[in-house]
Amino acid sequence: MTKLDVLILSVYFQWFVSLAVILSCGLNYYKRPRYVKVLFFYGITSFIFSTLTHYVISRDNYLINAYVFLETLILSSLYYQVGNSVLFRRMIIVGVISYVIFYSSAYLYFPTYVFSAIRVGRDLLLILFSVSYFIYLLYQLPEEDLLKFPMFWINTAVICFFSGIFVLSYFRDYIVLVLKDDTAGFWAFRNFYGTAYWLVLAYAGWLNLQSIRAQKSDLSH
Amino acid sequence: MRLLCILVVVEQQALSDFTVLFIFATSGMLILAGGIVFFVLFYKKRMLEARLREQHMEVTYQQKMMEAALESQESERKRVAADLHDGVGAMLSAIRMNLSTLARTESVSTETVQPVKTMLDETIESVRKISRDLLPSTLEKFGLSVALKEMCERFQSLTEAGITFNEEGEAMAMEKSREILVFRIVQELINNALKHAQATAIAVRVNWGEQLEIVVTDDGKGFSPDIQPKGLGLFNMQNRARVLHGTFNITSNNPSGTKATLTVPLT
Repeated sequence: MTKLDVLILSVYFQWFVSLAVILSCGLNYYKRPRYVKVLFFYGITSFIFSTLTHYVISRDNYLINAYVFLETLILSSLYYQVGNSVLFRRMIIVGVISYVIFYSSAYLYFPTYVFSAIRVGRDLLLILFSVSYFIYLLYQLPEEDLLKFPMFWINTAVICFFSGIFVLSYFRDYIVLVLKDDTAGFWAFRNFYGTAYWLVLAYAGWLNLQSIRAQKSDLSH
Repeated sequence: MRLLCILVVVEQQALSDFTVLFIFATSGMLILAGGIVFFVLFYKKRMLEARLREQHMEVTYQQKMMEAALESQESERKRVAADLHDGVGAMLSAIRMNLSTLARTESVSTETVQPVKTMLDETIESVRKISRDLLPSTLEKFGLSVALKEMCERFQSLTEAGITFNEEGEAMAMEKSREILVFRIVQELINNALKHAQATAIAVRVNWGEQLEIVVTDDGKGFSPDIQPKGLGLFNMQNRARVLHGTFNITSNNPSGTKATLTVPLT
């Protein structure tokens, strides 16, 4: 199996687990809290873009850049839904507006580094949001077991994933321009790591589904 | 050709260097992220432990307060009982003796003295009864089992209701402060059955097993569980059971009959 085969396999894996997120967050859709609905759309977006980039418009980096932009907006809106603090919500709004400006400026003023820049911006912004959410969580600790709290898993997935790929995002242009070939290993790592990320998100969706089903059975009794 | 070889070597060297940098930097970032996650988990655990400790302290404090309140109530009862018995009772007895002497020496007719003597006798008996209710001396001398039996007999002699007392197992000694709490609960239950439920038959069953179980049943008019009781009787019984680390359940078969079960650990 060549490195390229591993890369292709990793793409299929990631594509498959985004389906798992769609399923775990889409079932009983109307009874789900808003943040799970956002996660459902996140899964759909990832699934559509994965399909488009790998089957329709192969290797279109601008399309992937659009996905980066959408991903940032979707995850920011997820944090906006879960944070009941005014300060936290204001921070998200300011962060998103700054990112939109930064994203546009990157295309306009430093197009050479645009691929790295927008990814680094996204990673930093989402790491900031997840750390802030953890701080918020410390003040508003839920009574229930934290490990049974879906948002804990979502936040853990976000902080671990975007911290893990930060270095890769930072050196993306360097990898493409300098290392050129033989870089499939890095992208395969990113995709396998992404698979784990999506799996955790699917688990969070499933946890929420369980609590909804438990509530339903309590009411029926 | 040579230049191409040099370029390939340089590229491979760059890849190798970058891989090392990538592994170290990514590991560093992941350790940081993992550290934050573990910190949150650890902090939450500590917070929950602290909250549990606080709740436990609050429960202990309330328990101690309740114990202190019940203890002071009992000591106040003891004081009043002693005052009644030794003060008022003794004075009434002295008055009765003086009255007899007066009747013998002075020219006072027996018809005049006799009703006064009867009234005095009744008053002395009332004072004794109140004093006994306030301070169950049998409990102090012979323990809970005998005191409960004696209380049932006394109630039986004073009312028309049939009160039966059954005991199973071998009676075990308890601390006096605990025995008095159990005694008060049973006393309140019988009082309630007679006073509020107008019961005609009351059964007290005491079972000394691994724990003490006392079941008091009556055939009175019962009560609806939806109606909040006006008095403090039920509340006091529950508080006493809590101080005893026991359980107290009361069920009513509306419209008639009530069953109260008190379970108290013996150790």
